[in-house]
Parts: sequence; C-alpha cells; structure tokens
Amino acid sequence: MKMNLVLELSDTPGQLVSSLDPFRELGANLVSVIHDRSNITDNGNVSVQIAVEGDKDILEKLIDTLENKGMSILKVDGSLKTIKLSTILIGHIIDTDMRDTVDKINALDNITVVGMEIKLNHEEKSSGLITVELPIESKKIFLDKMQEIAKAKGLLLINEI
Amino acid sequence: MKDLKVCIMGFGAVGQGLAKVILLKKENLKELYGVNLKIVSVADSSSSVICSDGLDENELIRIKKETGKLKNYPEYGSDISGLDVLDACDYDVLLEAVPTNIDDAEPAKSLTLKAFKQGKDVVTSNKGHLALFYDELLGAAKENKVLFKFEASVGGTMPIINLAQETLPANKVTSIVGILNGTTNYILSRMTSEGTNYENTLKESQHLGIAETDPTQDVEGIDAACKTVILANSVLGIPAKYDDVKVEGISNITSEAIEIAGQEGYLIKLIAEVSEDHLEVSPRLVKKGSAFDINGTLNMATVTTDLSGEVTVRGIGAGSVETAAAMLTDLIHVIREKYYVDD
Repeated sequence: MKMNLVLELSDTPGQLVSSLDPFRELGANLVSVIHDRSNITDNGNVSVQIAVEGDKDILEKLIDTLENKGMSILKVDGSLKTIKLSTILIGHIIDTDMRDTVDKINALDNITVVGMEIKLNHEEKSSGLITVELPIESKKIFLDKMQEIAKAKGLLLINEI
Repeated sequence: MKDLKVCIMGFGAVGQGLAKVILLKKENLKELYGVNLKIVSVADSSSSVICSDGLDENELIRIKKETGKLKNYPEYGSDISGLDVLDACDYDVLLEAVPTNIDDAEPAKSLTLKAFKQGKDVVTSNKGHLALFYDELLGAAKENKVLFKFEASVGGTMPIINLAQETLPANKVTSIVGILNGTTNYILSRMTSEGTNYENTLKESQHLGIAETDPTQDVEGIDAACKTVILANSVLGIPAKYDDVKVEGISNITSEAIEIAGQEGYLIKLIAEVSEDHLEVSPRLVKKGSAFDINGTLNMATVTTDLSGEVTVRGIGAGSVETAAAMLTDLIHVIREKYYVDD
C-alpha cells in the first residue's frame, strides 16, 4: 500500500538524509520526496512531503520509528495532524520533580514531550519550557492536565494563547 | 444655539484631559451639531468650582496644577464636594472620572445613580462600579431613561465597546482576546528587550510614571479583570461578576521565562480572554509577529464574530488626553442621540 507523509525537519544540513534512514532500514519503498526549503514554518523548520510504498505493518512500524527518533510527523495520508504546543512553568520545578511532570504528560494518549528547556536563577525560582506534540483534538486534555499539575505542585503555568 | 452643560467629577489626569479636549473641540461641536458645550461644574476629592455660565478650561487646569484645589478658582471656587455638587448646579451630562475603586465602587456608583435619578446622561471612564454592579447600573439608567456610556473604561482610546455595539451590530461576538493593560505590557516589553528582572523593571516604570506607586491593580491583573467583566457584560451579554474571572498577574514572571520563550519564538503577554465559558486574565505565550506582538503601553484586542470573522484593533490604552478623547466620543454619541436636530 501507499502512504503520504509530511514531516517537519529543522533547516540544518543532514536532517533530510537522517530522516530517510528508517525507510531504508525497514525496507519501505520511497516513491517521492519533496523537500521545499523555500517554505519555512513559524518556528524556522521546513516540511518534507514523502510518498512511500510497503506492507501495512512496515508502514506502521515506520511511523513509530520516525516518532521514536523525535521526527515531527505533521500528516499521515492527509489526516492525523499533530501540532506542537509550548508551555512554561515557573516555580520550584526541579524540587517538585520534573521527571514526574514529564512522565505525567507522556502518560496521556498521543501526547509526547518533544522538547524541554530549563533555566535556574539565583532566587531559586526556575523557569521551564516544555514542548509537546499532540493531535489537535487532544489540546484540551493536555491543557487540563497541565493545570492540574501546576496546581498540585504550586507552579505558575503560562500557556499558549 | 443650544447650551450643553457638563459636570466633571474627578479632576486628575483624565478630568484635566477632558478640560483640554473640550477646549480643543468645542468650536467643532458648535459647527457640526449646533451645541454650545460648557463646563458648568468641576469637582476634585474635597472641593469644587461651579458657574452656570461656564468655566474657563485653561484656568481650571492652571488652578488645579498650581494650588492642588479647585476651590481656589477665583470667584466660583467652593467647599461643596461629592454628591452635593450634583445638586449645586444645573447640568445636562455628568462626565465622571473619579479613581476606580474595586472594593465598593464608591464614590462613582453613588454619583452615577444620583445623576440617573436627576434624569441626567452619564459618560464614565471608571471601571470599579461597572465591574461590580453592571446590571444594577444599566438597569437604573434604563429605568430613568438616560444614556450611560463607558467606552473609556476599557482600552483607553482604543475603540472596543462601541466597535462591537455600534460598528459590528450584525454580528454575534463569540470572544474577545486582548492586551487590556498598558502598564503590564510596558513592563513585559522592557523585560523582553532589556533582559531585566521584574522588580527592577517595575521600579523603572514607576520612575517614569507608567506604573503607579502602588502598582497592585495593574500588575496583579485586577485592572484587566475589571475590563474583562465589562466586556463580558456589554459586548457578549454574559452576566459576569468580578469574582467569575480567573486572575493571575505578572509579578511572578521571571526574566528566564521570557528568555526561553523568546528562543522558541514566543513572547509573554498579560492576556485577557472573554468568551461564554472562559473569563481569564493571565500571562500567556504569544507568537512573535502575531497581532499580540505589541510593545510599550499599547492595548489591542481581537474580536471574534460569527459573520465577520476576526476584527483586531489596537491603540493607546491609557493617558490623559487619550482617555478623555474616548469620553468625548461618548459625549458626542449622547449629543447625536439627544441634542442634535439635523435640518
């Protein structure tokens, strides 16, 4: 069967090649790759359209592998659009177990933490930015969970508008 | 030519701005609407000046600036103050610009209700009484068949209430999301551009006169929350009260949070959100380059409608002459409705 994918890659050398490794490893047959560097997304990434052929189980495995490698899949056959969402926590985020915060988010269906940046300061109030990838319809589930975590841990939550 | 006699209650920045804009525009109003605008009484917190023939705008400002008390106005200065001022002279419209009080809304509430009972139209820049007693005030205005206009209470000179009510009446407004407090926007903008921390940036803003000595109402989101309540009631028809708004200010925002947000293409802004199921004032992440990316003391709001999609406005959110201009606009609405006969 044939499948159309849209991946989002950072606009740096080598990204396209390494994104194609799993295709070769799994024996999925590349039909076409459209890499349009003139079309840069809001966060400075480029999207790549890939058409691929192979058995259903191979294609499913391919998606898992790409996701595990931290690739952003924007579309599969035009559906399952995922979005990236960022949120900031301010407070004692280390003392209140950051690992636990990330685990709680990752435990949600289809929601994955894909980025994290923490800054400490002398006043011991640290600031952390968490980026997740999720299907657009899971946005509310994620935001509700973040509210719950922030409330339980006494953190200030700053969500995207 | 018909006289239109106004009483100004409150003679701080906005009240003095009113004297300035009236002086600048009264000839225009004569030409356009055939009304002779006269300030017949002005009151500050403990005194007043009353003259049915009209007062001199420049002299009012000079006396207030030089002596601090309006009662020092030659010949017409007086110890009459508060509600009694409304009995001491004959006036047509009350221009009320006393300080916002979010605890019990006084003296604005009593002044407004008294003017209504006297059958007078009222234009206000106040937020406290609207945020706490919206229904009661609007009900009293209706009962007394008077006009009650409050564009200046939200967004300073930026049109938002009249925009929704007068300019977009074909639409149902489903939400308003915006930056409704200039002081906090200034502080966050400076923290972003200078990389400074909250405490130092607040001090700098106080030094520049942008933040008040007691900045609580602005930095804790109280001011923006009052505006949220006013927009909910007046534009979306939601019978919201102040306590219905979830409020978080900016005093816990760190320069590190602003820095990491910036690395990902975001800014942190104090955002007010008004919709059927959501009344909230809180710091939020907004995309750089979006409509929310405004600096300094500017305000903005995106109104989402059923027919026209999104309409976004931005403008100066505070200031003496700017806020007074919004009140003069409301006064012109009153003139058009009640005093102007087109022949």
